[in-house]
Amino acid sequence: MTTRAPKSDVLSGTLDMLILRTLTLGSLHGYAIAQHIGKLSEGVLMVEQGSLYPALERLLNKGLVTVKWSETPTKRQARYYTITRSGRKQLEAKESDYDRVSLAIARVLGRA
Amino acid sequence: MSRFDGLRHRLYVLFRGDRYADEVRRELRFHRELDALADHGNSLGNETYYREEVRRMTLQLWIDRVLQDLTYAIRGLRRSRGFTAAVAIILGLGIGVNAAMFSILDRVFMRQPEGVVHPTEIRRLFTNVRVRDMNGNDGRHVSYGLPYPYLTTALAVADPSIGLAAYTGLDSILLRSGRDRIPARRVLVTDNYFSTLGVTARYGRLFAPSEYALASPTPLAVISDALWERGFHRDPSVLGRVVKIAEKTFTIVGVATPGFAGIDLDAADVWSPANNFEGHGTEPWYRTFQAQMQIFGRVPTAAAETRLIAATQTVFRPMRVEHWMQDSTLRVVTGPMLQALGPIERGGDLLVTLRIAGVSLMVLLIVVANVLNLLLLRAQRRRREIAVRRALGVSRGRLLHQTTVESLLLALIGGTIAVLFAIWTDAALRHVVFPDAHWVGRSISGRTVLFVAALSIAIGFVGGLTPLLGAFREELAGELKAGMNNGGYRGSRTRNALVALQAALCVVLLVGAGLFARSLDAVRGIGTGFAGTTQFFANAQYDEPATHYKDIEPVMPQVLDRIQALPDVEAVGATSIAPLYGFSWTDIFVQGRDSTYKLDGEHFATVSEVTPGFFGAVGLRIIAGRAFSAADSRDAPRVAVVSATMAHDLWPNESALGKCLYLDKRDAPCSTVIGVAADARRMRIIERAGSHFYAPSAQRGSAARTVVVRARDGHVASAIRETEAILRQYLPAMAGMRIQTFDSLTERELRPWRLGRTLFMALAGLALVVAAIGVYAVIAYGAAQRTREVGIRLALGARTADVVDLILGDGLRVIAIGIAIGLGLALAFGYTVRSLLFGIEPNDLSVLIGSATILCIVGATASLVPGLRAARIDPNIALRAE
Repeated sequence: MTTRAPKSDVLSGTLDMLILRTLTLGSLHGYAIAQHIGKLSEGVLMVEQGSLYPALERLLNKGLVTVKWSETPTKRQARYYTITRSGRKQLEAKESDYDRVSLAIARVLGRA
Repeated sequence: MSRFDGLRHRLYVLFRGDRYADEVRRELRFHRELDALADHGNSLGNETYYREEVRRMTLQLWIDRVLQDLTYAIRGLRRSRGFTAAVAIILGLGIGVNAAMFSILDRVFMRQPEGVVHPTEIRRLFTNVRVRDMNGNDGRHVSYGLPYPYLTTALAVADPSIGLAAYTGLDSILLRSGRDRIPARRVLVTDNYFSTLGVTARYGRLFAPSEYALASPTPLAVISDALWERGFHRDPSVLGRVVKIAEKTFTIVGVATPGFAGIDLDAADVWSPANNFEGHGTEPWYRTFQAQMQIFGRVPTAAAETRLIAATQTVFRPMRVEHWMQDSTLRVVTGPMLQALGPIERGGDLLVTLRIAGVSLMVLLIVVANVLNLLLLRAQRRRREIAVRRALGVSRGRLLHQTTVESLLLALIGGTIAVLFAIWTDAALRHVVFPDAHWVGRSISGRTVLFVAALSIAIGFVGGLTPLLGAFREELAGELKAGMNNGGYRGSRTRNALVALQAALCVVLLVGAGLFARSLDAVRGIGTGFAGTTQFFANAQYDEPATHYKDIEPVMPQVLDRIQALPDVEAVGATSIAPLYGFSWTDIFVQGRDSTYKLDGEHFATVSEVTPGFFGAVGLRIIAGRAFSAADSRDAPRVAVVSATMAHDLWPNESALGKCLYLDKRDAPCSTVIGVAADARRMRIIERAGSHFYAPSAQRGSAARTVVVRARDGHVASAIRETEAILRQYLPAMAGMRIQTFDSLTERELRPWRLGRTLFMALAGLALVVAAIGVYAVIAYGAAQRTREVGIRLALGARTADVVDLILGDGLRVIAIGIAIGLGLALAFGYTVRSLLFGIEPNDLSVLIGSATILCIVGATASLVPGLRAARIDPNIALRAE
């Protein structure tokens, strides 16, 4: 079986970065992560379950986040994701990469 | 510890997969519910896709994939049974030969004697001393046997906590219990023997300290667990059983720890206190140099070892100086319990075995080359199938994965066959390599099985990489369009290289076999100087040498007459010392020479005192003068016969006949030289011809008590039986008898060459068969590839010979290249075994040419069969074939 290509390298990489950045606020469950990203992007970036959870699984496998069942403020059980130390390092690296790339794109497009 | 977070997560998913799936479901439900509350409704996504994604990322999938590939591989192998069987058997033989060799080396070099506590702490004591060989040359020798007085002095100076102990060499005995006669091997031991080794009694007891007292024999025996089983069927009443060993009675008092069989390669079954040693002479044996003890101790630290060496060396040196030609150079050296790793010089057969172990790796290389070739051919044949699968989107990685699983599976089947083969050959090999050793324990150790497993897996992985050697390179589209036999012939460089490699290594093996066979012939050709193959000697053994003479002397003439009268005997004589078995010397003086002609550098003459019949019986030619006759009696003038070398040495330019020898002392009566005998060997075939002379036993006053018999051809066994009966009848008081054929005396010396020849031939034979299969497969494949071309040629009027030429040409060229490389390798290899050869150089032309010829014949035959088949094809069928 081949490794199926991710939907888009840029997208998945970016999504990972957005998730990790969101988790720097503290431990959150999946729904809250999606909500947070949606709100901050003013509804432009809507993260689907089908992208969110595979991305989280990927981060878990890489040891960039950990997960634990906890109680929500509404007394319900949910899986809370927490960023790890190497997650933070990875985030830093990804953000600086992103900065370089986006600046480069902006330059190409003549906007910087 | 984030790295472990990831790993932990993966393992959790792997091992708690169901639970994890459940968690994922709950998480998604939670998300959906919140979504519903927020009335978004648009973020449902694809749950199934997510679940699949999660699964894909786990180890579980990997395992699924392996299982799937395994099923696929089994199906594939079952479909092509011939291929599977060929590869598995070839691999099995190749690995099996190596496993058997490994097993032997494992035993000799690695496996510690069983039943010993902390075996690596046991250190043996050796002495490194100056010695002089029978040719008068000085050299050094490491010896493991030390006379008992050495042990006494060592015990006086060594730290008692080391527990210095000693035992005598292994004695083959016959244990008589009731009517049973059980062959066994006995060791005599000192008081610390068992305690130092940490060996206890599993049943009954060991000896009490008082039972080791040296002055009087304690007729007790401890037997091994193995002997208890083999000889007594674990009968509990074995304790207290009275058995007879060499006409003496012993009481069995205990059975040793299971597995314990002494600390030599050769297994011991019976232990008795050292005071059972049978010395002779008036002095007690433990004050003389008669008993050769092997000394060892438990030495826990290097410092203790240094102290032990220093202390013992200090006391051994003066003893050596006093007893052996003022040799003040004695050094004490230590070694591990495994003798083969110790300082003792390795015997020729062990050296040969080590080389053979290297050579069996060569066979393995041939086998691997062959299997790779077969795998390559198989991959070629499946090109279309692979192309289809590639077109369907199966990745190269996945295909590689699949071929690896398949080849691992093949290798493991081969490995299983190898273990079975090794178990079977191990016994045979042991018998060939170390026929005197009686090894204990299972034949194949866990280490050997591990060795096979590791080797199989390594080969499996190598085999899995075959597709990288070209099977995947072809373009997909081309493969799919073309039929199997699309008219083109694909020569494969890799395939040919592998065939050439096999041919080359086969040549090396054949040259090795040739060199050893020729060495054996050369040594045999030298011979012992004694003509014939039917001679043996018989020797009555006595506990007391005094009775010896009294007993034998008066009856010897009758004994010789009786033996001579036997129909199976051609000639009989008697001598003071058995030929090829020992030698003795005496001072001699010669007129015109200042120095005594004796044990002094080059001037060293050995003597045999013989009866007139001796020369005829041993088959020694008289070159000049005459042999002894009955007339040379006690009262007749003294006479002597000298060896050719001695005659030449003493009287270089004149005839020795009529010259005078003065034996024992300068003023002795003259012994006139009446004959010159051909040179004969004293101890070994390969030794320098030395000065030796013969005197009539009647004139020397010492009994010629060793009977030498020449049997009629083909009647050796019966002659031995009859001779033994006569001796027993005339010498009823004897303690035992030693009978040995001359052939058996030289057998030991010939063994390294015999061994080299046998093993090289066996391995070369195996390699040839494997290589022949390889060549056959490659040629047959090539022929099948060119079916269409052949069809066209035949249709156009080509003759069979042309087609055979066409098909064979390639194969023979490759083999020729292989032979050329092989001859080069063989030369290099020859020099590494040069020291083991005799009378032949590694670059011997006839051996090289012979080996190349054999390979040519085998290669041509293996190619001819598929070649002829191709030529006989019906052009109609060939052209219509896909």
